[in-house]
Amino acid sequence: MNNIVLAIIVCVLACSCKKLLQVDPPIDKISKENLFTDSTSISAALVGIYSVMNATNGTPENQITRFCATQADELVCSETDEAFEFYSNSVTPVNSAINLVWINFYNYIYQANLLIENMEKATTVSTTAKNQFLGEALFIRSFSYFYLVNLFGEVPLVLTTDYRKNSTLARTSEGTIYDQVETDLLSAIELLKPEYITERKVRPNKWTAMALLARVYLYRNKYNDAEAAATEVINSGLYDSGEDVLNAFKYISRETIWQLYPVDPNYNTFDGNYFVPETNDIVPAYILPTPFITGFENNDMRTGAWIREQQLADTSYNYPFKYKERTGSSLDNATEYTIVFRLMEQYLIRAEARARQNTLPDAVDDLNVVRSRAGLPDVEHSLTQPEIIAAVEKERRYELFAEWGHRWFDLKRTGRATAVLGPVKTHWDEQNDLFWPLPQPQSLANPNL
Amino acid sequence: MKVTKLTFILLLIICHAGHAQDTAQSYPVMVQLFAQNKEPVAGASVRDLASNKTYLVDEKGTVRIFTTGNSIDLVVSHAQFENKRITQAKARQITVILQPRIKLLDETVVIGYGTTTKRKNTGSVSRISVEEIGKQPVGNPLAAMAGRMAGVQVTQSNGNAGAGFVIRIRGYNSLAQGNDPLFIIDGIPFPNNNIGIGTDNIGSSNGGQSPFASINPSDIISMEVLKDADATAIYGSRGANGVVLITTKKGRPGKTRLEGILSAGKGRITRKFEMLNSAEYIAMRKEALNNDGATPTHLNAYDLMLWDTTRNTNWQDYFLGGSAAYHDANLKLSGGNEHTQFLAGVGYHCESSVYPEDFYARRMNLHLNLNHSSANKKLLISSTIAYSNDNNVLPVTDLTNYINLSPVFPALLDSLNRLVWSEKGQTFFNPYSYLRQPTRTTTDNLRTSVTLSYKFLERFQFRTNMGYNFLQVNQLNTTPVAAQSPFDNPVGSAKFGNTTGRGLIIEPQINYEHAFDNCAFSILLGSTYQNEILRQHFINASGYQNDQLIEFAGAAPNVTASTTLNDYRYVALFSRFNFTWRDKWILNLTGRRDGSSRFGPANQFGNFGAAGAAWIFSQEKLFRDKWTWLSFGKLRTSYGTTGNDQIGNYQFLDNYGTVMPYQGQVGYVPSRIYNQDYAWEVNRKLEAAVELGAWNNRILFIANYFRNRTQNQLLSYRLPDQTGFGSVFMNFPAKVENTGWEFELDATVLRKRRFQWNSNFNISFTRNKLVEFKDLAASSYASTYEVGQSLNIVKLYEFTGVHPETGLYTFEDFNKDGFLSFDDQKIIKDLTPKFYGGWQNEFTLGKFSLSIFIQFVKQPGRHYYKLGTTAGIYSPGYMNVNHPHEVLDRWTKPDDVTAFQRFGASPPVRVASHNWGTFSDASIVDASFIRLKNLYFSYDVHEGLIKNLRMQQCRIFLQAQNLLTITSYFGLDPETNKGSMLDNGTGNPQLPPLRIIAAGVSFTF
Repeated sequence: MNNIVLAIIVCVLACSCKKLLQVDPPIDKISKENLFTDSTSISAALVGIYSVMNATNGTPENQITRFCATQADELVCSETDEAFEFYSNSVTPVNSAINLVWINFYNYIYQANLLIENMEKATTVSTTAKNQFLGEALFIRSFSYFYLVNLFGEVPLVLTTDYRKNSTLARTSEGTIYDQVETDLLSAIELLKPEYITERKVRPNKWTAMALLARVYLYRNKYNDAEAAATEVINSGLYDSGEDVLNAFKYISRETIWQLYPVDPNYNTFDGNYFVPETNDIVPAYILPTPFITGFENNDMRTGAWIREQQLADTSYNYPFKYKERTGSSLDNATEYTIVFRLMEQYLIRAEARARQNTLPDAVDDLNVVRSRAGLPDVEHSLTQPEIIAAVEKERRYELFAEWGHRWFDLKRTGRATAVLGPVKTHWDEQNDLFWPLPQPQSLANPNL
Repeated sequence: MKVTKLTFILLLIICHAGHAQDTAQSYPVMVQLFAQNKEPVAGASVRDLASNKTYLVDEKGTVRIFTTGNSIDLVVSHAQFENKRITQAKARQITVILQPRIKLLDETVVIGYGTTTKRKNTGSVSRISVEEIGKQPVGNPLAAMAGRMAGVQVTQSNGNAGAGFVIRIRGYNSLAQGNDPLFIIDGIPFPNNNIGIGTDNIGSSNGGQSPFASINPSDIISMEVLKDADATAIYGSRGANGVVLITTKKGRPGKTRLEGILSAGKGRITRKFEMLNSAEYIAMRKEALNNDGATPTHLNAYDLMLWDTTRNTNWQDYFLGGSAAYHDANLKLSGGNEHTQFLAGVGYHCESSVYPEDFYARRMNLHLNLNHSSANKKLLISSTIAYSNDNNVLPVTDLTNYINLSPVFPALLDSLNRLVWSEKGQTFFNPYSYLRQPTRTTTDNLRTSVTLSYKFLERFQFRTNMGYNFLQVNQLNTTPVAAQSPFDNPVGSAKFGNTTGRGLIIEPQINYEHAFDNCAFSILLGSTYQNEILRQHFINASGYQNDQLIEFAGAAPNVTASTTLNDYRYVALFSRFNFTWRDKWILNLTGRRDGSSRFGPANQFGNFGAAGAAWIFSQEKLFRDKWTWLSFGKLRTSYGTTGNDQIGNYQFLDNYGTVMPYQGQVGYVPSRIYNQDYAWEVNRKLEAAVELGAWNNRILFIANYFRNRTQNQLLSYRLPDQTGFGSVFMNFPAKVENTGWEFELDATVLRKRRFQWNSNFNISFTRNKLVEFKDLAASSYASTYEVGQSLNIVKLYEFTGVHPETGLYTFEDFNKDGFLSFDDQKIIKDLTPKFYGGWQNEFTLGKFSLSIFIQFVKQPGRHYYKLGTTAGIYSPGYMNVNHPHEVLDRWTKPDDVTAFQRFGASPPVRVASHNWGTFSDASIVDASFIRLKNLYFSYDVHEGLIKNLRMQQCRIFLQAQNLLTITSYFGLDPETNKGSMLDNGTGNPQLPPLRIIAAGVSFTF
């Protein structure tokens, strides 16, 4: 008996081996090795990025429009709003919104880099599929850097996933980052196909990358290239310049190049949720200033379609009404998606690029495409180059208002920020206000910044 | 472990009782035992030294023994009385008066995988017993530890029922990872943190249910805290932060007894702010607008222009002014014979809340213990089954956040008790809505443990502990339409969380004991297998049209669900060698090899070990002869290593998680930056102590010095987000040192027949220091830590007062660049407590007894109100936000010298200087306090009165917790709102621990 007991004890004691430490893997996770074995999973890793873009509060997609518009001369917000730091052009390094934008963009970049690095391991996936995924990853990386460089100026250029190297990277010049963006976009254009891989244009195609490239060329004053790229998008035949202004921000819009599918059932679009007031008896959170409203030409259909007036007892307030749905319905029934790229911008890019290159009649033609869609009379072909450039700037202001920071970036890239904002913004200081400051948590975490 | 001792005694009795009668020369002697007050003493054992037989005394204090020889030589022993040796001539009957024990140097102390005594322990162990626990009206056993043990810091998270406790044993060892000790109940590990349970998506005003809220303090007989390497190394990788051993009550042999304790009372908050009244608030607002040059309009001052300014509501009284009911009831039936003993207990505990509306935490529990030994006493089995059900209903958010509503704020409820969301066209957020969004947490906990032991080959004992712990937490949080603003087109939503934890542990051990000549040694060899599986299901349902269906997820159009699994396995081999020579020199060696599934395949195993030694110098002839007053003297020291694996599961895996679907396809996102090379964090502990007893141990004094150094820090290393993530999990070559002194003094000040006064005092001084940090200046922690300073520092601006001209706060611009930036945060403040401790006094006068326990802490604290800011952002003058009375000392005109800057209603300048204020040294204040933590007054009803009820004992008592707090801290509570590493980091005011006053009765049949 005793011997048996002893034997059992020895057995039990002796088997503290590795086998006992084997645990079931987490059920809510997929291992990286497993992920890169089939195209559906890799596709899901890209979808993860789009989902986060549109699901999480605090993502750039939800912040850039509001904050850039208040920084420029497009929107007025109340003092109690978090946007007030932007409105008063006094963004501080401790502002949490700018930190979130930074964090999210670099998170997308990390995910894109991870996909780019691991794509070659996906030996069981067809080249066609891999090209599409690689193209999307490169596009996301360029898209992120485009906004980072426009919002923050010089930022670190991270192209791998090695945190040991990346954690100490210093900031890189704007030119180098733009060069990388161009390179990536050219590769993406090679890799992506003209057609969309899903319905409703919610994943980028070749022309989405081309549209961003046209914008990048314009911002870098490469007018010839900008014109060529915009022309490719316009001539692709996939998009219609005649879409009704009332439908321009609906998911069915034929003008849309890339839009984000709604993810959170509480919202169709973040912009709709922020701009449309809860009730008809309160002051809207973001107000279009009077000079902007009075600057509209008569009969501009966009005033009625994209702007709404909130009439209160003593005053009335105008707010952006491009997106009309404040809260969401079920996702399948959503009528509005967040539109990231649309055709009218490409016409305006080409108009400006042509005007700068002095091909004035063509520039005017492009401008008139946008104007006629808005129900406005054509501008004359007799205008001078500076007049056309000014007309394009004005048209961009009225076509692209409260949309993805266009106005703010235009004022900065054309060097007109001080001229325009100096008189209307009390605290305007060109030295400090053109770029968001480096978020304090980042400068603390990386002294090389 | 009393049971072990008793079973040992029983064992002896059995061995000998069988043939006692046979001895020819033996004759019977009747022994009767009395206490000083002439009451018979039951439960003692009498050993006859002539025959070396032991007898058990009956409940009347009598026993008949059979002895031999011409004189009688007996030893009487009892847990509560001094051992007594009786040598006298032959007699038929002997009466013995027993002296109560003064200091229990020989009382059992539970240690890892065994027991020892205070006298022979080589390690550092603090203990509180059933007496101290029973005096406190607390629902959570951890609350009973506060202040009573040297080196143990206990902080309650907040005053909501079921709130968690933070236990720190000898400070913070780890930069980032868990600093929680290992908790073990009857040999079975028990989770403390809310990580282990609950779904973190469901909020509750208590900040998450503490698993210990499901343990009935009344079931506990003792709680031991193991501190040094000698005591903790047997727990190897999990011993770095100390170990808390909880032992529950066991059945005892004797007549069947029924014990009951019933008490009821009320709880209220201990302190309040004096806030501005309506007139003062209105004046403040007008002055603020005037300072800004603003004209009050419906937009910037609807509180003044639109709303009814004749109101004067004190929101502090409104939200927190209620009283919480406290009820506690316990019944226990116990008894048995020398082979089999049982205990069955039931308990009920209920606490309501101070908030308006009906919130409560209610616990019902059952505790069963059964012990049995075989006839030859070789086989012993002991099992405990404990079940509890805790039902906790609290608002989703702590309403303490809203005591600063303006006094003219509209009434939150209309005459039909519906929520109000607007007045005169101005909408507002109604915080009362949180009270209509209850979170219901139901915790079911089943703990079972079985200990089986078998003696063989004389000196060997095989023993195995087996335990199974089942914990199920069901949570439901509802947000009905009725609790939301109608202006928001609300739909109802509900969150359902279900967490099931199953823990299994098996620990077979062999013990060998041998004593010869002057030596005694024991060897323990054991192993552990542990598996914890945690499954969570979470459902988020929204879009309900009707509040009545809100608990039915099927009625919600939008439902998302998630499920998670955590699997943790742990194996170990451990050993202890204990050697005692001449009862003076003791050497204790422990070792453990641990494997944990929380580490990558290459780093799963780690070795830990410790050596402890003690010299009982009072046994030396020199001291025995010369210093007769010194009844006990011991020097001890220990050194060893322990580890820490509180890092969560699966951290080493490289994988993707899921996010919300995008156009029908679920998205994958990487979970983390992956590093599979991290390994154990190692903690080296050094300890030296002296223990002294004087005048027959009427005074016992212990002084401890310790030094703990943690290396290879496991931490979620902060990364700049440009890497894609904010952190990566890794070992870091940082070295943290905790050093400290602990002193304990136990004194029987007076011991008269009718009056007794016992006093004990403990105080701990701890210091925390970051000794090394590789390339700190270039790391992401450059701004957080300083080598040579504590981990608990904050870096702050230097506050230079209110500018006499501008009326704004000013701060030192150290780098003279004209801006305040992080480089100007040069002032370093250490928020570590300087010292802390407690002082207990017990007075007994006849049948009355009074116990007073005072807790004290000397510490700096963070103070978010110091500069008139509430929760850090609103300057006085801001719309709808009220402030404490102190802000009236503000700047109004040039050359004013004031504590507060000018009132201002709008940003940016004034708000910015407020923000800086909260990051300045002015926000650090003295948060020291002396608290009358517990008062217990009792009266034992005279036997004559209860005899007819066949009651053995009846006691009426009055008890109070947190009765009085002396502090210069300006705020609701210096304990919970410290702003140090112990707080929740937000600085938001939280409901402080309540003052509870209760009365009750305890009885024994």
